[in-house]
Amino acid sequence: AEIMNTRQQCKRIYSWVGRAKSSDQKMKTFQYRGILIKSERSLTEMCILLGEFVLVEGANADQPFVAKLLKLYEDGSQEKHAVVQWFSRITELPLNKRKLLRREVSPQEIFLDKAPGYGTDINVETIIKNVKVIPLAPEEVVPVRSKGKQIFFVKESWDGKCFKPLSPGLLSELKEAEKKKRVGSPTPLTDCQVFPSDFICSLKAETDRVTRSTMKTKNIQMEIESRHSASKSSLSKERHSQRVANGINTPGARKKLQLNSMYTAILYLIVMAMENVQGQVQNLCLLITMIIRETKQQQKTFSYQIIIPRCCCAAVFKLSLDIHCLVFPNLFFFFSFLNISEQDQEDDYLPSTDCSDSSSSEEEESMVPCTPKRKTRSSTTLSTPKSSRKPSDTTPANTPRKSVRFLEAIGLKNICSGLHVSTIPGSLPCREEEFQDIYNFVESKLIDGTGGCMYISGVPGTGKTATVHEVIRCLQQAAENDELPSFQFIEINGMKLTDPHQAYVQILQLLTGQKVTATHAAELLAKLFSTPGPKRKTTVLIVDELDLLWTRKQDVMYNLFDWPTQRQAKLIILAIANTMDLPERIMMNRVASRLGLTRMSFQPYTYKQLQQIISSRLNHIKAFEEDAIQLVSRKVAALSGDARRCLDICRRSTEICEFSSQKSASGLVSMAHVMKAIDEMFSSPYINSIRNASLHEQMFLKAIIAEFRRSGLEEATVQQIYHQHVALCRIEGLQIPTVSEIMAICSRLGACRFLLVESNNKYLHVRVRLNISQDDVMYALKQE
Amino acid sequence: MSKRKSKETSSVNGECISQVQRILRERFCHQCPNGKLFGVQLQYKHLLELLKRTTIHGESNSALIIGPRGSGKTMLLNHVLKELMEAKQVRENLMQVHLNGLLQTNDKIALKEITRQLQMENVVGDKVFGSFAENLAFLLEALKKGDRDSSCPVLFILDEFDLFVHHKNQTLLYNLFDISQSAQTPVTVIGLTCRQDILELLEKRVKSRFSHRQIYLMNSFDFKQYLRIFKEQLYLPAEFLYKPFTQKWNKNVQSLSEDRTVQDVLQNHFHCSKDLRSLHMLLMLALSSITVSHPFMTGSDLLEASKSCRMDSKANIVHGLSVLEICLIIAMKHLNDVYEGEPFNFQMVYNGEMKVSTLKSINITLLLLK
Repeated sequence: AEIMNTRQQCKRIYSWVGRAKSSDQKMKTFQYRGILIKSERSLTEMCILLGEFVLVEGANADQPFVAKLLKLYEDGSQEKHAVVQWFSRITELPLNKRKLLRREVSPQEIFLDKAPGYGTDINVETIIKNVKVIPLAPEEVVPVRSKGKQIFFVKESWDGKCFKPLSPGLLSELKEAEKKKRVGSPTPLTDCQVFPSDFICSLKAETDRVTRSTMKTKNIQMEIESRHSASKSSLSKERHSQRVANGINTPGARKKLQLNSMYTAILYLIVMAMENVQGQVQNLCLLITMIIRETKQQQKTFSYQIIIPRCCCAAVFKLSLDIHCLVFPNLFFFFSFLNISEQDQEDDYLPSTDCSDSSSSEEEESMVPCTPKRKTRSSTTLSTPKSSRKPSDTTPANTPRKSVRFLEAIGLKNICSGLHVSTIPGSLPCREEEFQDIYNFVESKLIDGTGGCMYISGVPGTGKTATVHEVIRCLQQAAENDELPSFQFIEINGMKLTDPHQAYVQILQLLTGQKVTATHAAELLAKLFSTPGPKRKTTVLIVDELDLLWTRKQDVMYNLFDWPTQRQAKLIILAIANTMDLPERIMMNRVASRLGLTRMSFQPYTYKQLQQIISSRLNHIKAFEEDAIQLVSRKVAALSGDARRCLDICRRSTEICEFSSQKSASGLVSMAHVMKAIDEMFSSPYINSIRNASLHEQMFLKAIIAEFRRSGLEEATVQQIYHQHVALCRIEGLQIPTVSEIMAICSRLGACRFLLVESNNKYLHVRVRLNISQDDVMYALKQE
Repeated sequence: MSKRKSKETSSVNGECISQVQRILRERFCHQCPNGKLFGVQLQYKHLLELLKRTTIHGESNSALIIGPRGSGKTMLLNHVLKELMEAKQVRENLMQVHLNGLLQTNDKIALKEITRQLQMENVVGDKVFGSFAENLAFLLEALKKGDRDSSCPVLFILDEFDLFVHHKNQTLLYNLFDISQSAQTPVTVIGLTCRQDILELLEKRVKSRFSHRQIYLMNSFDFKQYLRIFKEQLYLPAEFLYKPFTQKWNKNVQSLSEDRTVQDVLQNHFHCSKDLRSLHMLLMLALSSITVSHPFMTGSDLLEASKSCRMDSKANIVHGLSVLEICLIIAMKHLNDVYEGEPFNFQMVYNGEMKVSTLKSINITLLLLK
């Protein structure tokens, strides 16, 4: 089964290596030991086997994820899946945790990621290619490398809380795996031909193999060794080579790690060699000899003192053959030799196992999955991450955090800042219930790793956005304390977008940092949310002022609410808007149905709640008289229930109190101050401004009312009003204004919107209406 | 000898008059920041306090200055800013963004203007003048990064505030008010408008974010204060070069204000319109009659000025018409009275003309030409 991968511009075809090695009839899954990736463009094939490291496509194309392949299987639906162990780059780790490392981290260093929260099951088609990962012991330094080829170093593991050096067992295991791969895996298949033909021949039945398995590399290695020994015709050598071969396959290669610095140096050499051009081969030889000399000096007790130089000689000999691909096995040989020698110091000789004796490839191939050593090894690698990946089922404390601040000096300025709307309070009083509901909703979705929508409505100033932010803050804290899987939080606001389609651009930018056009962003997001994304955290998206994302086709809303319904999306949307019945009013059925029925409405604050809010904002400092607070809250509750208004009034009244000459007896903000503030903000300006208008302006308003009464209509032309005006002036004995003056008066009143004046140039025939009630005008004018 | 002396004095006078005219014209025509404020002490204090809170304590705020045209909104703001700028701390820190609803007719232009005035266009190269969306995102990001204590306070002054209300979705206003209500860069948004119903125009979300601080300017003075303002406007400053002339001029102004005819003229003017701009207009006309031979303003000057001010523009046109045209208009007037404002055609006018007119020789073609 070949699956075309259309995701990348360069198409890749994925197929299994070999037949299913084991199958589970119940689950209808077939497991495989490797995958073959054929790139259409470059016509190269790449074979990746279990245990190798791979790059996995992520949201950000420049930074693919690194993972170790643990399992390959195909389920009933013919989809190829892989189970991986994730490794994280430093940039993928939470920012605040990076400092725990207390050192500079090279971009090439990765961490064994044991943090819970990532799905380990990925689609095989997200695998890009294999990559080299070199394990390092804790004392070793990450070598500085040129940026030519991607090589990663792993030194520490990350379990979501802290960094730990790799356990020796794990390290050796990784090293073993690394060793195995050294020779075969990264080179494309065609490289096989580089080996001398007699080599290939000597490997019985090797040619029918499609790939070079790790087993095969071992085989080659053995062959090389045997060639050495043949050339030297020494029996002891032969024996030794067998031992070497055993060493490679010994599962519990416990190390004392005395030779760590040596290892690093050798590793470095190997790495260099891998990327080598021929000119560097000589340097390599020199280096090797130097290393060996050093080994001799340092390790006096080394029991293989004689053998090392010989190995070295062999290496140099091989190198001089100028077939540099043969250098690797030799180096490898050397490396493994050091390995085994060390081990031998510790324990005694291990009896040679069946593995070294068997040379038939068929046998080996069948053995691959069933050798006990392998099994134990694979189980160790698997079990460690699994154990740490247990989802924590402890529920975090759901109470909003309370910050207790102590203000020593009670200045009105401090109070003012506490009353400012911008101050983020430690807790949100009177919204506990809503907080709990939203928290539970998001928390449950986070734990389940699913997606969902919630619609939150309420009039302005009822604390919708503040509550949601508080929820997110608490969730983030819980995630930091590892009580919850970590998640990504992004927010968009309909009012802060110039166009509904810009929502896509913003979301994509917040998610991945890419900047693209709206249509492209929509495509990318759809792809991101619809494919089983590898290593994606749950995303919590807040959409504020939802109603502004309305378009005629409603495609933006449709997409937003469609994504969470998809299984792989892991998207939780909290949509906020003002109107309760927005889904019914403006949304099409298909959009409203996707939004679902999880709704919540924030009721306007009652006066008691407002009172509580004010006193909590004041940190329970006595700055207001009780009555004053009550007045404010009752007034606001009656008007709108808008907490912002409430705080604004309080702030203004403290200012008034501060500057008023006659301070109330208690020195607190009193009723009078609050009354004044309320008056300033809510009193209708009309009456006062009419009283302050000029005499003829007032007369004109009177004339309008007189004309309205005469005609019985609510509309009159300036000409008609002018006649009334003249008559009124005669009664009052005032100078009669000219028509020009009347027109000027009319336009002035029109500019202030006392009148609604037709906007045309009909001059005297312009129609005029009153913009305020006649009663107001009469009331304002009667006083005089 | 005496001749030369008189010549000298006349030259001094000429110099004086031109200086007087220059000073007063500046006062009347330009909205110079040196001009005096009348009857707005409370508002002045309020606004000053508000801006001080922003500039010194970094408290975000928003306010509207509302008042009829010519009530001195801009002047009030300019005075407050001038006093603020006297403090070194403020002068160095405060950033001002002036927008006018007549110039920035949509949010896109307004954003570009804000970026330009905040001198951020070179920060991002030509990127700012990319798309509208990028521009907005950039600006919001820039303002979001600031905090109360460390960033420069930004003062947004929106002249003709009512025109910003008509921008699509009121995006600009929402964002400005939202910044002023959240812990970002300290921002004060001051809107100037003459519309009394401005709050009803704001969208509910925008309205909720506006702090509801309104400063009303009303022209709330009576005639006595108006007279005082009249005198203040005409007085020459004490630092004027020619002391004797200044004394004489100021004495003349004082006597003018006590003059009955002058008071009548001003009273009529005051009844018609209280705003100071129309007073300036009147004084400007009176000032132009001042020459070397007529160095001091008189009551008749003001009367003349008042007459030309109050001139009915349409009636004035009639004065210049030919006899024939006047005849035609008279005929129309008659018809208008007969038909009570109903429309009529040329035939009817012509017939009416024939009936009334004694000029039988009028040719119909002549009339048509008109």
